[in-house]
Amino acid sequence: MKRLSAIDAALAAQRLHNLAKALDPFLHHPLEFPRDFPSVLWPQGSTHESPMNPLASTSSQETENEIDVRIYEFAVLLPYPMGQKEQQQAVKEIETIFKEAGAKEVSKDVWGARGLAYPIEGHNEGNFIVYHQEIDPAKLKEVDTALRIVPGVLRHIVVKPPKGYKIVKFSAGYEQWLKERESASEKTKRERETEIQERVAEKAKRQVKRTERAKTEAAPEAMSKEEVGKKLDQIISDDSLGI
Amino acid sequence: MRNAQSQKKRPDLRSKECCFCEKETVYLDWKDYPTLKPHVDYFGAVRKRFLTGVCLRHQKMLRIAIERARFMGMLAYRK
Repeated sequence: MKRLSAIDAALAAQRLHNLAKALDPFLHHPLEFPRDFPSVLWPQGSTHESPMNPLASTSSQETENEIDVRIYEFAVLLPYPMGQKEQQQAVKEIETIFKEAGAKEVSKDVWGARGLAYPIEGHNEGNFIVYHQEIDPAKLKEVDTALRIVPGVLRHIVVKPPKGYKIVKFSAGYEQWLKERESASEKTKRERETEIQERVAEKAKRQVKRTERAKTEAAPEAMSKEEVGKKLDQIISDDSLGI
Repeated sequence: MRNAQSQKKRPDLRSKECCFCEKETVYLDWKDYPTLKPHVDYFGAVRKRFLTGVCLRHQKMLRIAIERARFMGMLAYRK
C-alpha cells in the first residue's frame, strides 16, 4: 500500500472535517459566521449546490421567506396647525409610497396634536402618525428617500422593532398618563398634607398615653376593712345627714 | 440649631436596583415618554447610571431611545 504524504493526509483530514460539518450542524465552529448571515456568505440569487454548503437545499427557502417580508415601524411627524386638505394630501402621498413599495399595513396610529420639545421649522406642535408595515427590506432605502421628499413632513424615522414586539397604540396611553400625572405643585401639596396628618396622629397618640399614665398614677389606694367600718359608723352617727 | 427630624438621610445610591431588570424589559421604545422622562434631567441630559441605578445593558437601550425621541422632537436636546 502506498504511504500518503503529510500534505495529502492533512488535506484529506480537512475535507473529512468539512464534510462532517456540512452533515452535522453541531460541529459548526462558533467563530464562523452563523446561518443568519446569508447576505455575507451566500448572497441572494446565487446558486450554491455544493455539499459543503449547509444552507444549499434545506434552509435556503426558509431564509428567503424570512428576508422577503419584515415588519418595520415608520413614524412621521407632520405640523399640527395644518390645513385639512394639505394634511390629507400628505397622508395620501405617504400611503402611496408604501403601496408602491409593496408594503402591507399592519397598524396605523394617529396621535393628534402633541407639543414638541423644541420648535421644528417654526412649529411648536406636531402630529405624529405611526405606521407598522410589512415590507421587503431591500425597498427600505427607497421608502426612506421618498419620505424625505414629501412636502409637509417635518421628521420621519424608520425603526426595526425586535422579535416579539407587541404593537402598542401610544395615543390612548399618553392621554391617560396626562390625566393621571400630577404637577410639581400638587405633589408638594400632597406631601405637606401627609406630613401634617402624620404629625397630628403622633400627637394624638402621645396625648392618649399621657392620659392613661395620669389615670394609673392617680388611682386611689385600697382601704382596709376596719377603716371602711369606721367611716361608715361616722356617716351613720352624723345627725345632720338625716339617714 | 436644626431639628433632627427635619434632617433627612440621603439614600444609599449603590443599593439601588435597575427598574428595567425587575420588569425584564427587552426593548425600550422611543415613543414611551412616561418611561423615558424620569431618566432625563431638567436640562435634557441623560441621567447617570449612578443616580438612577440602571444597569449598563438598559442604559444603552435608554440612550438609543432618548436619542430617537430627541430627533423626533419628543425630548429636548438641551433646554
